[in-house]
Amino acid sequence: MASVKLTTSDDKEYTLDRELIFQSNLIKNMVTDLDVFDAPIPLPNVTSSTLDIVIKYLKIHKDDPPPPDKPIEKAVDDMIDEDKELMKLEFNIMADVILAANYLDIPGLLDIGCRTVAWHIKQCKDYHEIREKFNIPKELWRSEEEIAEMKKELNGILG
Amino acid sequence: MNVNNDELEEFRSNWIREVRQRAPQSAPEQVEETEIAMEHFILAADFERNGSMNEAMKHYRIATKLDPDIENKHWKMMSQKIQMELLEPFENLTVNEDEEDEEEEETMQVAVVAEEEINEEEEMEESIFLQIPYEILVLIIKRALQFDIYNYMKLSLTCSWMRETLKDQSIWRHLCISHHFDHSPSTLTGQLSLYRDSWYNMWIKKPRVRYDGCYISRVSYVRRGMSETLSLTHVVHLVTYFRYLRFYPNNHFVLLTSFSEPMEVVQVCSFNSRVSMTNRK
Repeated sequence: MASVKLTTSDDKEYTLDRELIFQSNLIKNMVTDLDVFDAPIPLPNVTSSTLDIVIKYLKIHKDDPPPPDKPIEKAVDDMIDEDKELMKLEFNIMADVILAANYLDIPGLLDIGCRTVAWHIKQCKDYHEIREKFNIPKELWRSEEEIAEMKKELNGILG
Repeated sequence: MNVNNDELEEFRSNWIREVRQRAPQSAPEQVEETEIAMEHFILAADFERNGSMNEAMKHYRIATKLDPDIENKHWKMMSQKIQMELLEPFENLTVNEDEEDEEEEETMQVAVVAEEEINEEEEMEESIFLQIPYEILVLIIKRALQFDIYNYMKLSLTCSWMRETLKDQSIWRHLCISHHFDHSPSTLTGQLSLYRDSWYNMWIKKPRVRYDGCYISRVSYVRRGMSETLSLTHVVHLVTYFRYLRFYPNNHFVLLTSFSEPMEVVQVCSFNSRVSMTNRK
C-alpha cells in the first residue's frame, strides 16, 4: 500500500499506510484530490506527541465498519475498552487530541474525546467540583451579588 | 408504617418552639392537643402519599377532631422547613446585607483577594474549556446533556460564560431530535413555530417521555360489598392498586400492575429484574 508522509509542528516526519491515515477525512481528500503523495503534508497545529496518540487510535479502528445510522447508545461512555484506556489523559493533552481530531477531521476520535470530557462533567457532583476540575478562572464565576439576588428571589417565592 | 421517628421528633420540637413564641398565653392542654394532632396529621399525610387511604382518613379525622385548624398550622410549618432547607447551600456564600459599613469592608476585601488570586493564576493551567474552539465545546455539552439532563444545572452554575454558551440553539436541537426519535428531524423543525422558534422552548414545553424513573399510576375506587347480615350497615370497599411503567431509550418498556406499595416495587421494577412478583398480593 502506498504510504503518506506527515510532518508535525516540531518537524518530525511520520510515514503511514494510506489505509490507516485515510480515516482522516482531511488527508484523504488532500491526497485523492491533489494527487501529491510524495511530498510530506505539513500539520502545523499538531505536535508529535499528539500525533502519536492519534495514530494509536487509528490503529485500533482501522478495520471498523462504517457506523450504523442510528446507533442506540446506553451511556455517555459507551465506547470500547481500548478507547477508554486511550483517553485516560490529562486535560491539557486531551484538549490537544480533540483539536487534532478536529483539524484532521477524524469523526470517531472527536466523538470519543467529547464523550470522555462529558463523562468527567457527569462525575462531578456539583458546580464547585466542575470549577475545580476544569480550572475555570475566577473572573467568570457568578458574582457574589448575583448569588445574593438569587437568595432574595427564593425568599420572595416562599413568602 | 414508614414514618421516620426522628423527623417526627424534630417537627414536634419545632412546632412546640413556634407555638410558645407566638402564643405564650395559651393553655398547656391546647398545646398538647395541637402536638398530638400534628403527629396524627403527619402520619396521615405519609399514608396518603403511599396510597393507604383507609389509614390516612382515620388519622386525618383524629387530627381535625383534636384541632380544627391543624391543616393551616401544618402548611405553615412545612413552608418554613422548606425555606430553611433551600437556603442551606447559600449559607456559605452569603453577602452581609444588614449593615452598609460591613458590606463596604467585604467588597474591599474581595477586591484585595481577587488581585492576589489573579497573580497566582498566571501559573495555573488554562482551562480546557477555553482552549478548545466554541463548536467543539458545544459538541461536548451536547453529549453531556444527552445522557443526563441534570448536568445542565451543574454547568450553568459554574460560570456566567458557560451559561451563555448553554443558550446555544444547536444544543437543544440535538437534545430534541435525539429524545423524540419517533419524529424525523424535519417534522420537528416544522413544529418549531409552535414553540416560538426556539428549540430550548420545545425541549421544555413539548411533552416527552422520561427515562430516568418509574411512572406510577394509583387507581382507587369504591365498591359496595355484601353485608353479612341484613343490618343497617352497608359494607363498602376502598380498593387501591398501582400501575408501574418504566421506559427505556431503546424502545422497551416494563409494565407492572400490582397492589404492592411503591416503596417496595420501584427498586425491583426494571428490565433486567428476575424477581418473581407472583407471590405478592
